[in-house]
Amino acid sequence: MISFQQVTKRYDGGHIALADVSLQVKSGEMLVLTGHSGAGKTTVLKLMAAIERQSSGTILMNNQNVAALRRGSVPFFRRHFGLVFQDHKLLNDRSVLENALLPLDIIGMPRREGLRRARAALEKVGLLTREKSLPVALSGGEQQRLCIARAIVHGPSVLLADEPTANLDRAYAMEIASLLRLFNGAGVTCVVATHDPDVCERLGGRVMALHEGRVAQ
Amino acid sequence: MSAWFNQQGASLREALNRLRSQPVTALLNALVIGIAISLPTVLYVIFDNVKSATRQISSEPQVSLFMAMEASPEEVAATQRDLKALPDVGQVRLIPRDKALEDLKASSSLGDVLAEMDKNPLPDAFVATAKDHDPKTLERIREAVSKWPKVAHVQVDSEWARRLFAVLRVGQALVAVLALLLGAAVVAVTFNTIRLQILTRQEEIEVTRLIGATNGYIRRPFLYAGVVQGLVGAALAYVLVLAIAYWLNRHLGDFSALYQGEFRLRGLMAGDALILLLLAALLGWLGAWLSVSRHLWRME
Repeated sequence: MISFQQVTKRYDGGHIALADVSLQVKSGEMLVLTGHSGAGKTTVLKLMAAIERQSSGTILMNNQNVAALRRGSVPFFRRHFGLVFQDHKLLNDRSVLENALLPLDIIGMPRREGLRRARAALEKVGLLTREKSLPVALSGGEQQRLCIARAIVHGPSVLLADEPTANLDRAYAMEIASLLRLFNGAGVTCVVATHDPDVCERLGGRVMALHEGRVAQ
Repeated sequence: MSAWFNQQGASLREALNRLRSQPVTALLNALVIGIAISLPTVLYVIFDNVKSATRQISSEPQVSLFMAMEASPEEVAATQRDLKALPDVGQVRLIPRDKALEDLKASSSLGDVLAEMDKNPLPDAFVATAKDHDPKTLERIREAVSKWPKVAHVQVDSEWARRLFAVLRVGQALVAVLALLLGAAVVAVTFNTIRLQILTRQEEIEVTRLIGATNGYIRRPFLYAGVVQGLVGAALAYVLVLAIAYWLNRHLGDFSALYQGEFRLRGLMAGDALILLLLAALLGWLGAWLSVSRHLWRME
């Protein structure tokens, strides 16, 4: 489904974030990327979602060459993914329901159908009773669950999560890991970056360690 | 197609919500736009009214030709023949001196004075109509006949109207220049308003881009905000123009009464008002488009 072939990412100034990385993610798989800060985990996720472009090598998504995407096609390409961010990236002036509705607004889904789906997504992450609250009224764990609801609401084929438990205490972190595992069990391909061994274990997928931009094992 | 309409509806709602969230700022911006638009519009209304009033007053372009007092009936007849033979002349009407005197007595309060005169002080005259409205045609006729013997005086009757039209043309050019400058000001005002909106929504723009929003999706609410701002500005300008026309009419009524006339400014016609709304909407859209495009371009 996703294939990296000798991918290198070099930033302006010469810093190499990723060097000759090759990896495969099969449909429905859970891939857990581990490694210390600066190992290149986030870079892998950004390259997968075409948030950044590789300096060399080939990235294929369903046999489509990501580097060949035209600028105008990138937003449509990104809709294949659900993105979960470490810092949640929620819109604090919109309610929980409106945050969950955002990806459906973007694809132009009729309002009534969008609301139905957004509520269904909130129910899956246990936030339906908080639909009218603003994100600032939620705990860190709830905010991350809302971020997951927003990531899965449009039915993406791949979920990319970048350190989804980094700012959470143990109980919340395990809760989020279980939730991601649940979606993976439902057939969603997941690529999760984490440096937490317990979360890694709870996710239960194939583990790939990165070290200084290279695959370590 | 329904997705497109859903997105347009959502963007319009979003734009209205954004404007509603800062009503005073939105109203002040619309007022600035309204004032900027109303200035050239008021001038346009004034010049347009004067122009149509002048059109009603000025008849067909004519040349009046006055014979010398000593011209004989044969010489008058010869002049009439020559005048008709000129290629630029359409119709020729002779006003014999006796008829002219009778008309003057009948149409003016000078009847008693004229009755006491020994001799008729008026000459024979011709009124020649030009074949077209080109001022050069009139000029050619004047040049030709003024050289003829026994022709004492030649007068181009529509000359004053021609001068007025020339002044009006200059005025209209000024309106166009002013409209252009103030149109640019409207674009600049909208550009800046939308820029401030973008700055407060920067995080939202970044998030929506990450989760698959196209530039069109990001741009749309801002474009609607620009259009709505332009439309509200144009509506305010329309009210301002009506108010100014009403105020001017109170003074123009007294002024035109002094000349036994009736001249009143009419406000914008429905067609003009529609053009005003469309132009303002377009300028608002343009300002917003430039502002968002610049921001998106910088992000990329």
